[in-house]
Amino acid sequence: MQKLKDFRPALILALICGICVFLLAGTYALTESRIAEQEEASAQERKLTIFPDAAKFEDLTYSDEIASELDTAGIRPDEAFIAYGEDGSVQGYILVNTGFGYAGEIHTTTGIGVDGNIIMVIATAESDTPKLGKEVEGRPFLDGFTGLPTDKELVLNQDVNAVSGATISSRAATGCVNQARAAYQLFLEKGVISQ
Amino acid sequence: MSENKMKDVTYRSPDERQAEKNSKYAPKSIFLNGVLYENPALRLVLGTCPLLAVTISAKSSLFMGLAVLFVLTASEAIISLLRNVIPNKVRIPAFITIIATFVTIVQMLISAYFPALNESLGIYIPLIVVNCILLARAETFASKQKVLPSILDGFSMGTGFTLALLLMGSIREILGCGTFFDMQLPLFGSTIEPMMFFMLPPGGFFVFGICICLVQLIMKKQEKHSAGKGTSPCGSSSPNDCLSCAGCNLCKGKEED
Amino acid sequence: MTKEFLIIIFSAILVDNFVLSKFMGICSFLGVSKNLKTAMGMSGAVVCVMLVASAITWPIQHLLLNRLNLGYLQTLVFILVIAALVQMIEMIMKKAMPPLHKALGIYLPLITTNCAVLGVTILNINANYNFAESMVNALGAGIGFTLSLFLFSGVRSRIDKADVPEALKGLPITLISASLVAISFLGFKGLVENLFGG
Repeated sequence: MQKLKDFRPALILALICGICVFLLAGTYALTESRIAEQEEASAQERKLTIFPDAAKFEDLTYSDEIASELDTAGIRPDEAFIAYGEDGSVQGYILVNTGFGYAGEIHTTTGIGVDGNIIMVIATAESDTPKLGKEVEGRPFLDGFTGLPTDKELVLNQDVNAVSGATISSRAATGCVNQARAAYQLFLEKGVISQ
Repeated sequence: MSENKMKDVTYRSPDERQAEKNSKYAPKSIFLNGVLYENPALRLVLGTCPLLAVTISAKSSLFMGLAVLFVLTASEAIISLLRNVIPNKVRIPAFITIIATFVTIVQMLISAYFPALNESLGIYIPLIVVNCILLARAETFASKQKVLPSILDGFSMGTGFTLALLLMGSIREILGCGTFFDMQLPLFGSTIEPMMFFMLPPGGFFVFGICICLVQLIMKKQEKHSAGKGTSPCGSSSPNDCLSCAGCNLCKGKEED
Repeated sequence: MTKEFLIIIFSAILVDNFVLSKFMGICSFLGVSKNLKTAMGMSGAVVCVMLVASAITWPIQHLLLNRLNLGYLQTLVFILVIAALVQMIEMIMKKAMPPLHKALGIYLPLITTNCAVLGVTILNINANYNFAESMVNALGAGIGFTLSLFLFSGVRSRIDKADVPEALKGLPITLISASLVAISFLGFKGLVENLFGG
């Protein structure tokens, strides 16, 4: 009886923890598919904005050796895709990168055409400060990347104009695009993709 | 086991009996208390972390407030329901567990239905767990009161917090960005140049300081008329006197053990 | 590798200072910065707990929760680990290092609800840091917390002597001076990019 009394608080705490975990598992089961769907839908939307005529997107796969090379150079993309047209021909490539802006993460989705030029860049910086960082999401800045070649490093305020007042985030976004560009060049060099 | 239960009941009953007699716990005064006299943000100065961090726009402030409102009401309800089951010794971890559960539920719901919001509130959603308001109310109110008053208390405290967040968010968004809920305001942008300062961390401290100053002034005027005085959870009239907001509760808990 | 560490530690201390830019641990920042001694005691305790908590939560997340597909338990598990940890550190300190316990003991129970500790452990996971980087980040966050507390306790001792308008006395003037200290930290924005060419 005495022993039971000592363990009672611990048992009750464990029971509460158990019920809580159970509740969380339930909520997770209910929301999981929706969270995944949401993410998938917005990613798909971005891909289709860049390649409106694409029929399907496939993951761009590469060997571990190339992966480690990308890591050493610090240019490994979060995700990489190949866009195929209706007739099965390659339309271009999509690379997703993450960088740090003024006060939060910036995610860029860079589309590169088969000719090696940038088709379009999309950036999201939800957590960044309005006016100081969030403005890099705007088309005026991002459209500056369209048509630029990928064979040389892009320099802010030479190739693209920074958003006034948001230099740090503009630099971060340009850095992300440069990573995507360098990764694309490495893929070409290693024969993962062909021009 | 029954002996232990008895102990728990006798331990709490004087508080409860007193509380029932005390008109302070009438529904109307609980509500006014939460929203005005003991406004968690502006009077008790609890939960300053989200108050300063997410108030860069009215929209994110409002949603942060609603998230806290939900967690506060739900956790106070459950804690009050279990107040005679949870042993005194392990009550703090038990409270934390219950609060963390509701926070995670909110986090999952937000990321499922408002993914953009999840990104902009970011780390401040899980950090609701350590928001001092929750533990302070669980400790000082829900663990001693019946379920309905506790739900009302959670609701009014949450509303008070939401209003405070909204106030700060509106001030910072209007002055810093010239917009209100993402709508461009007339005059701002052309005649009145938005002041970046208010969007930045220092602006948060500044606006908060001014808000507290104004509330103190208003309260002082009120106190001249009536004797009612807002007190911090420590029982001192100045919230500054606590070593740390939730600290006073934890210390108090220690003495009781 | 060293460069990465330097970037993380500089960011955590100066650019994204936990207190002045991320607003984590404001409660204790306002509470204990009244005099230097309590400020240093609190900072010491926070640094200790941040380091140990990061060292424990990282393996829990990567070796346990992620493998079992239980990522959603992160908040619950982390806060309980921190609460238990604080208790344990206090007990161990009391037995093994009485002088240290005497100095830091009273601050330890307050740390459970210090959002900087939970914040740093979650940020380590969100930023996808490896174990070493997480530890460096925790150290940087701790030093940043200490630095801001140290600076601010100096500012506050001056405020006490100043002639402050009646309406601003107490918390308002404290917050406004915190705002001024935060402005000085804004000057560090862009520091990391310019130092390391990132």
